Amino acid sequence: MADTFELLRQVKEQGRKVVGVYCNFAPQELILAAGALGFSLCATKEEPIADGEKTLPRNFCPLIKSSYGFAVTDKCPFFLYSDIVIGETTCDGKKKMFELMSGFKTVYVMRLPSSYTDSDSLAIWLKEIVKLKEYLETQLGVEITKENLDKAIATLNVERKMLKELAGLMKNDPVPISGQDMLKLMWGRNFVFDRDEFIEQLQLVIADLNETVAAGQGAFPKGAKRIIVTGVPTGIGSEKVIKIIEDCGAAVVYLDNCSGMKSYETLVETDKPALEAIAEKYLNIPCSCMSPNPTRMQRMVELIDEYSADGVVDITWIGCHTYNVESRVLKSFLKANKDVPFLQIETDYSQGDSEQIKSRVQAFLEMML
Amino acid sequence: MERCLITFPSVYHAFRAERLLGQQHINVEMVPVPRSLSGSCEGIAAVVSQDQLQAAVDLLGEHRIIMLHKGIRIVD
Repeated sequence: MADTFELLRQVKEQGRKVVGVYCNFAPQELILAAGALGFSLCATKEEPIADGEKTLPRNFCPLIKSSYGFAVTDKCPFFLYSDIVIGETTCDGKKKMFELMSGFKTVYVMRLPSSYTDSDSLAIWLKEIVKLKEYLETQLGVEITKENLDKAIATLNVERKMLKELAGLMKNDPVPISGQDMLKLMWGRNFVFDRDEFIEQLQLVIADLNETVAAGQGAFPKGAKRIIVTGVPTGIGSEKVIKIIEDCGAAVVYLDNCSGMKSYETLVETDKPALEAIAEKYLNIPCSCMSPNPTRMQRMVELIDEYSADGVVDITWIGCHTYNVESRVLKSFLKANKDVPFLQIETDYSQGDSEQIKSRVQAFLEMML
Repeated sequence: MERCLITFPSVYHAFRAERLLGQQHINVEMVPVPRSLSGSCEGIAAVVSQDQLQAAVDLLGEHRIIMLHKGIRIVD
């Protein structure tokens, strides 16, 4: 067997369709129910940013520049082999990037409302979900049946429950694995070819980690400082801050961001019509592109208790205005509702500021002693 | 001692491989998959010594760990 390019070439030869997504708002149940393979597209490495900057403004966030750089150079195998790329109007930068991307790829952009707190938004988003279903059916030449949709909802709900169980193992002290390894496990879920086999592997890894917990073993000494990481997505290649925190001796016990648990916290409800339930679940993802975003604030207070966190580190990509502004909101909310040390780190994918960040993290951790 | 690389279809297989090999006292180091072997963003590979390679591959096979490459020799 060979690499990802070869695996994708083989599945395409077998007639499978591939749908690429950039964001957690893309309703994966519809992709699965259409019989297509859904993958996250590469966006978290520094390497293609220079190619992205040939077209995009340099002051865009690194995630958008990396996404575009990967896409325009065909270095992301999942982008290369995608029949359709689904985008959403999450932020201005992504919205305009998708406009450019549609010049060389089949891109379908969902009109995401900027609020989950009013009923009008849900009605608009439900229409978008229905439109996407119809688009996938036409474009992929399939019918998304009720039976397949219900099955897809059930499958992905099982995954979400299991990922929550996996994340919940980090409530233990010592933590059974590092936050960096947890990120790798969460990340692995984005590139699944066989969902049944994935669930089997997930079960086995959870069983292994339960053994580690039972043996009292851990990735850090018992009593290590416990940090929740929140903010922008930090995937493989852009895990700099998480690594620095753990290199400084603290354990990252929870990844609240999009590359962590953000979209696995809630399920698609099964006691209501499927498309309505999907619309409701996805619209309520507490991303900073939502304004206001009370779910993120309230959930963070609960997480601090559940994971016995000593501090919160909020990562912001330079150029990500929504997470940058919301950092102030989160800081104020936590100060009023949960007095824990809070540190915002604004950075990008480069390593140039690593030592500076290390100094700030060390000072932050010393403050907790 | 010559070292060899074993690669996997997912990080889940890699994590389980690390644990299984460790339990059988086979020295293993987990490393990112070299770009020359995979264009994927997520790969983790296991590095074992040449003399323990066959034992490692047999053990992982017995435990149904899928391997993509079963021993690419590393040239330092």
